[in-house]
Amino acid sequence: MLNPYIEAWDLRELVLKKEVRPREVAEFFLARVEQLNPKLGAFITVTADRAMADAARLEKMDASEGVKLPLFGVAYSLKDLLWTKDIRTTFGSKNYENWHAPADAELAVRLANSGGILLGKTSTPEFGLRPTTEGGLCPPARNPWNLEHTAGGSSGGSASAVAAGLHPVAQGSDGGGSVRIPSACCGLVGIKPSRGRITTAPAAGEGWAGLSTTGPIARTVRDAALMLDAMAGMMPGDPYAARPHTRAFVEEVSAHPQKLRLAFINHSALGTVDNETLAALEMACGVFREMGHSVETIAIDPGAMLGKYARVIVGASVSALNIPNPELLDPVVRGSYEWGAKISAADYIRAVTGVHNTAREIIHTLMPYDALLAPTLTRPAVRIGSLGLNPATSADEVYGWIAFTFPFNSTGQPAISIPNGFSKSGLPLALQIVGRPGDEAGIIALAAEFERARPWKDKHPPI
Amino acid sequence: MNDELAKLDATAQAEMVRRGDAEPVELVQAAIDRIERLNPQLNAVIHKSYERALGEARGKIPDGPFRGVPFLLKDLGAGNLAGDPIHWGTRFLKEAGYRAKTTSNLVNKFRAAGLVIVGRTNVPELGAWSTTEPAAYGPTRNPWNLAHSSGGSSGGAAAATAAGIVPFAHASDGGGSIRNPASQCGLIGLKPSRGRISLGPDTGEYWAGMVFEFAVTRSVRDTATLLDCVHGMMPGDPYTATTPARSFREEVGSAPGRLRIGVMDTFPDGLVHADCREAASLAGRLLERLGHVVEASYPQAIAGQMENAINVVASWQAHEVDGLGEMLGRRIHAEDMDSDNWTVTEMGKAITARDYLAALGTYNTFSRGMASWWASGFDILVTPTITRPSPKIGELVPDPSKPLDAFRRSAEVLTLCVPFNITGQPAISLPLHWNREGLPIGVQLVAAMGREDLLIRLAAQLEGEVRWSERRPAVHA
Repeated sequence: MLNPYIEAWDLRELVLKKEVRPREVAEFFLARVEQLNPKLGAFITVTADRAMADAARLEKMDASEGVKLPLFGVAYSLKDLLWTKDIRTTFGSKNYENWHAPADAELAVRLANSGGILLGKTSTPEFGLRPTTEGGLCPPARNPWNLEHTAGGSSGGSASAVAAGLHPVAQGSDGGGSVRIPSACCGLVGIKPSRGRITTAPAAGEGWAGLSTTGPIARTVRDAALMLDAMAGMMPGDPYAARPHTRAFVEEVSAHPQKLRLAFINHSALGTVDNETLAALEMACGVFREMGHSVETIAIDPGAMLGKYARVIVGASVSALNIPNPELLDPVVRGSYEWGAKISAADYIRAVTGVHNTAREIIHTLMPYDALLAPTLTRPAVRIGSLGLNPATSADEVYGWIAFTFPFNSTGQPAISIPNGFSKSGLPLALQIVGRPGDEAGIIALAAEFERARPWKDKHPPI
Repeated sequence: MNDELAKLDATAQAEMVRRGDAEPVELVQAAIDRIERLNPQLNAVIHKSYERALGEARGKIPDGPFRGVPFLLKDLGAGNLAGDPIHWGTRFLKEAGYRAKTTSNLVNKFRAAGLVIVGRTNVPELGAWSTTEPAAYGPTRNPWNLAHSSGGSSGGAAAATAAGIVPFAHASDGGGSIRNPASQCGLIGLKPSRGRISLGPDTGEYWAGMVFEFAVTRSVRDTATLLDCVHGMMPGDPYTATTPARSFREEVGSAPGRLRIGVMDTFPDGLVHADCREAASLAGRLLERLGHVVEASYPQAIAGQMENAINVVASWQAHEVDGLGEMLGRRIHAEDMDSDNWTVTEMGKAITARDYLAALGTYNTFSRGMASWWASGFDILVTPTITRPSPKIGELVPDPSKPLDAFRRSAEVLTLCVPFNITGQPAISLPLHWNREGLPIGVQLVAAMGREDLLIRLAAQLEGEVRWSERRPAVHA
């Protein structure tokens, strides 16, 4: 009997040593999904046959082949915004309930070739447009720490599944925080990599003007780094690529960063950070100082600087979706779709230019610092059915919650969300570390150091 | 002395300074003299900064590889130097006496390389034409034949470099604007990979990533060394090209190896003039003689993106004209611009973000289709740089009674350039051929993304065979 909270790293070792067979991995986690998914709403499509076929293929490989594969024998999921040809791709939309993509995403191919066992596709709010996973086709993704609360979004299904031990790692995507938000809500590690780190082939050259990227969700920093290694890399025909990294991200976990200069922000005009989150952040700053790093609070509010541009880019991108029947849209999405249709190309270009120029200003301000510490969210996971449901006020409510995530989609910097204790009501709190452009290595090393000082992996949700 | 200096490339001029054979002020004064002597015929240089240049040349110049070499900036894009005029070839900025408020990262790097800026070169209005004939400053003429265009939009830069006024000059390329004037004036024009050279600090990208900065040159070693001086990510750039394994200068003279090269040998009916087809096929034969594997093959998708590109450029033009108006504190009207540019601006204003994003979606499909040709095993694509020999001055001037007629004919010249503004691959025009009328005809070599190293190695090999620097135009110092 496997431990459902086994790390991907350890699971891979067990499979390589033949102590556990790929078939057992598939059967064990499929059974978990069957048992718990009705309570969680984590998966919109379970691919049991595919999982068994993946396992059967792995069983024919010997250890010398398996050792080359970063996810050998590891169960995982894809978020249902990612193109798959043979599994339906719904985008969480009633307009796409039974749609099949014309091709598999390169990323889906890459993960399949990494030795993973695909359990299915996870719930997303319609087109990934909310920071909670509700509305549209999918059931609400529930938080394993408290089922009345959201698992966050838009990669809420992925996070719910990882937190509940349905598999150790998941592929998510993040255009305004959608990997980091659910990771924060569910007590997980989520990485939004640098712009251009992971190809968007073949569906697009870039997502949301380069704001959106895919990224890993896991329970430990090491697993998130391992998953990122399996995901990273570009394809011919991509418009640009991130700076190549020199060694595997998973190796950064054992690096010991020396005396870094860290910046810290905890205030945004877009939303108030709650007292529990603030207190936990102050404690975390203390932990970093004890490690020998300096932490300086700086006065910059990237969210307030970038909000107006991000809204235009997202609105325009929504309007460009092919929607056969707008009547079926989630009202919040429909509002965005109709508003976006009124945006001119010139205004869109102005917003992209605004993003680039403001990002340059922010990156200049951050240049003296090795990394930036920030809240991930302004408060812990909200109750399902409580945030951003009214199209008229939705945007302000949402940006108030995600004020510290979406700016780094605009700057293209890598950012990681890691657990930072719990609220009195038992919900996970989180901390975000934002790196220099292209420096996933630095934030992975620092996050791993924090995890060693304040380990969280043995705390499991009540479910 | 003067005429002898004019024949030297920038590397040789800098070498004279380094050896103590010439003072920077002599090089700069010689360039000033050449401008005064030749510019009345060419109209390549539209702003002169002689006093500052001489002052700098007498003072302490940064000790870069081009210390003391005279240089010209283009009146567009990242050619901005705080306090200097920058008019983008427009009457409205010229009449307002507009001066740049910022200095580009690129200009700072040019100066850190030791270059001394003696003036600014002519461009078509908003850089939107393949010939340099702005109403604001008048036409720039081709030193090989003054009745002909120097190309565009870096037409002033190309004419000045071909005539020996400066050894090389700043240029930029949003749809062929480095390669086209290089082709028309018998120069080397490298459009680098996307992200190779920063467009900051004023912008992250331009024309949706179609705009590239760099230079036109006469020697491959100048191309390589200058690229070493100016490439690299600057803080806040939205993305960057992959870092080269070694300096580009080291590629010059390195054996390119046996490359697999496809030559574009068939064209849509009537698109490409026989002289240009001949230039490409002769280049193919030469490459074969040099030991490369040359095949008649090219990416089939190559010529199908012009309409999309015009829509993308029109969208940006609507945005630009708005922004320039804001900068001046007044609205820009039809009578401020040439008739086709105004029509394009109006067209751009009517484009929705949704349609613009659809065009970018097509760019994605196109870029992946193009990249698959290289991924299938080819190293280099050879095409004519442009579709026709240099047009006569006046041939591509807008006629208000025929909206967009001249604009489309101007764009058609660039049919084989634009694809690589979209994909972001590096492409270089080399002066490998001259037609019977004595006009230079460039050949374009294209490598996979990030592979300027390969282009430079191959260009140096061809330079050793063709020895284009021995040919001089009718108007030369």
